[in-house]
Parts: sequence; C-alpha cells; structure tokens
Amino acid sequence: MKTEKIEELIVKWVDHSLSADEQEQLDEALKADPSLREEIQKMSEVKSLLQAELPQSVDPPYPDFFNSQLMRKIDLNVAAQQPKALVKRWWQDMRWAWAPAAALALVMAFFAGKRLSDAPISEPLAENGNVPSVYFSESNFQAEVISDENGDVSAILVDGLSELDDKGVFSETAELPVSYKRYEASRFH
Amino acid sequence: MNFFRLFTFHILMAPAGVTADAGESDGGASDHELIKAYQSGDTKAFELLVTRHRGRVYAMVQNMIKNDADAWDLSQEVFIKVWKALPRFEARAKFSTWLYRITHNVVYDWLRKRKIDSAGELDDSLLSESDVSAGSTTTPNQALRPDIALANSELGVQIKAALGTLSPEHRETILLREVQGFDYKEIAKAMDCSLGTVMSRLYYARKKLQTLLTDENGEN
Repeated sequence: MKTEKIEELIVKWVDHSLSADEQEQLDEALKADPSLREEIQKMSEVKSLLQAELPQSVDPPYPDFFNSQLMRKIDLNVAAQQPKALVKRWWQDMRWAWAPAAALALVMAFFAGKRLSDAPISEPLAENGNVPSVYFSESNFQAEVISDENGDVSAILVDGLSELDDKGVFSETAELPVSYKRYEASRFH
Repeated sequence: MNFFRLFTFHILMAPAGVTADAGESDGGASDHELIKAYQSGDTKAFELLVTRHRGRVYAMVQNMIKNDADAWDLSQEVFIKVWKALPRFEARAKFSTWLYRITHNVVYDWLRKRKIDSAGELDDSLLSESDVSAGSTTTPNQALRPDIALANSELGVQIKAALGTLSPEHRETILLREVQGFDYKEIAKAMDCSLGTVMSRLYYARKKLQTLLTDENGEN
C-alpha cells in the first residue's frame, strides 16, 4: 500500500471517519507494520489534547470596544465612499462657461503672440522708453499699466469686468444622502 | 505519556469563562438569515454576525500569529473585508467557511508583509512573538483572560510552543480541524488547496506535535 494512502487512513482513523472498506485496509496495514498501532494511538491523544486545551472561541480583549471600533471604521468607509460621489465641485457647475473661456483664451493668446512677434526684441523699459500696454479683445474693458521709474515693477488695472455671481456658482451644498442618514438612524435608535 | 497525565489534570482544572458564541447556537437567527437581513439594509444584523463570530476569528488569528495586539487589529480587518464582500455573498456558500477563507487571506497577507518588511525568509519566530509590535494601534493586554491563563499553564506553554514550530500551513490545517471542527472539504476550501494536501498536512502536523509533546515530557 502507498505511504500516502496509509497516512490518509491514519488521519481518518484518528477522526473516526473511516468507512468499513477503509477500516479493512488499515487493519491490513497494521498487520504488516504493528508499530503503526502505537503511532495512531498517540496521534489520537494529541487530537484530544488540542481539543481540550485550545478554546474554539476567545472573545477579543474589550469585545464591546471591538464592535464599536469596527462599526466606526465602517462608518468612515461609508462616509468616504458615498458623499464623495455626490459632492459637485464648483467648476463642474460652470461647465457651460468652459467653451467661451477657452475661446477667449485662444484669441488673447493669438493677439499676444502677434504682438510679441511684431515687436522688436524687448529691452528694459528704462532703456527703450517704451510704455507697456495691454490688449483686450473686448472693447468694453479699460486697462491701464502703471510702472515704476525703472520699469522693474508694473501693475495692470482693469476696469469694466462684471462682478462674479456667487449665487449661481454655489447653488448646491454637499449633504449626506438620505439612505446614509437612515442607516445612521437605524444604528443608534 | 506524561503529557497525557497533564492533559487529564487540565481537563479537571480547565479555566472557566471562555466565550462559546459558536455559530448559531445562541438561539437567534441563522447566519444566512442575518446575512439576508443585512443585504436588505438591516445594519444591526451585521453587528450580530460580528458578535457571533468574533471570538472564533480572534482565536484562530491569535493561534496563527501569537501576538495579541496584531490579532485584534487583524480580526478587525477580517470583519471589514467581510462587510465589504457581504453584499456579494451567495446563499449556497457556508458562511463560516467563507469567513475563514477571508481570515486565511488576511493572516497570510500579514505574514507576507512581515516577510517583505524584514527582507528575508519567513521566520517562524515572527509567529511566536508575545510582545506588542510598534505598529499596533490598539489595546493593551488584558490580565487573567482564560486564554492567557492557558498560555501561562505548563501544558498550555508546551502546546503553544509545539504549535509555533509548525509551518503556518500545517498549523492552520490542524487548528481548523481540531479546534474549529472543520471537515476535510471545508479545510480545503478555506485554505484553497486539494483534499490530498489537507490529509498530508494533517498527518504530518499531528505526527510532529506528537513527537514534540512527547520529547518535551522526557519520553521518546
């Protein structure tokens, strides 16, 4: 008989799960090698010893804290997942303005590039005496450039821009979803 | 065998108070009923499942890694994974087998990480540490719990030391069989191996424990 088969029979004998046929096979093996009998007897004692000495269940230290800590971690998981999907960023509400803003930026970049290519290689303001100017494609803007004497520092004042309407931008406020509130309520009541 | 004498003595003097919240023996709803309730939105059902199974998961993890604080953290991790996967749990599976499969994965991930962190071979001494690791985030030891009383007993020390010399695979197989009462098929499922492997591991684990416990007590 193969060694693996004998081992399997011994394991099953220790666990009291041998079939009649398997019991016969084991009896044959025991006749052939009587030392096996002592071996399986000792294995059986080891099994009883482990079952008696090692508890199947040991509550973790501070079992109530174990549960509350676990549920807190789960709450954090829930909170991290659910609201994130629902909160809108303000720029997501401004999608309608992306195309015109991009077009405006392109036009400005075009004219700015054109001016740079037409202009001679720039020199310090103080040396060439040029006065910087600003171009806007929209005619209703007023811009003025103020420089210090050396032209090292300059400021651009722009007039004519309309104020931003913050009511439209922040019309929605992030809030926990109703399902999450219900879940919270059911946990604590 | 001397250790057998010790064994009978310890049965008579066995520490009381070990929690036995095994499976559905608490008279409440079955695991599957609780899972169904949880899947329908009853979060309290999940807490009941945790309360019912936390002791068995903790005992298993503790016997595998021999470190109370890490066992506590890993048991929490097991249940967080259970919580994440429970909506996909199928009723035809046995919950305890599924739970131990998750426990198995969490423990082996931890062992693998420890192995990588130590940049060397998996050292069995890692599995027998009794001190609290620097990375542990939770709970100090609690005095005079039944498992600690066992750990302090002579026979308990011998058994734990003998278990500590087994490979993680052999140790897990024998714990699932002798302590958790799994049958061979359930062990194979929980450990993702063949039935033949389970039989072989059981044979060698028992044989080694028998030799160690006999040698420990001065017999050969």
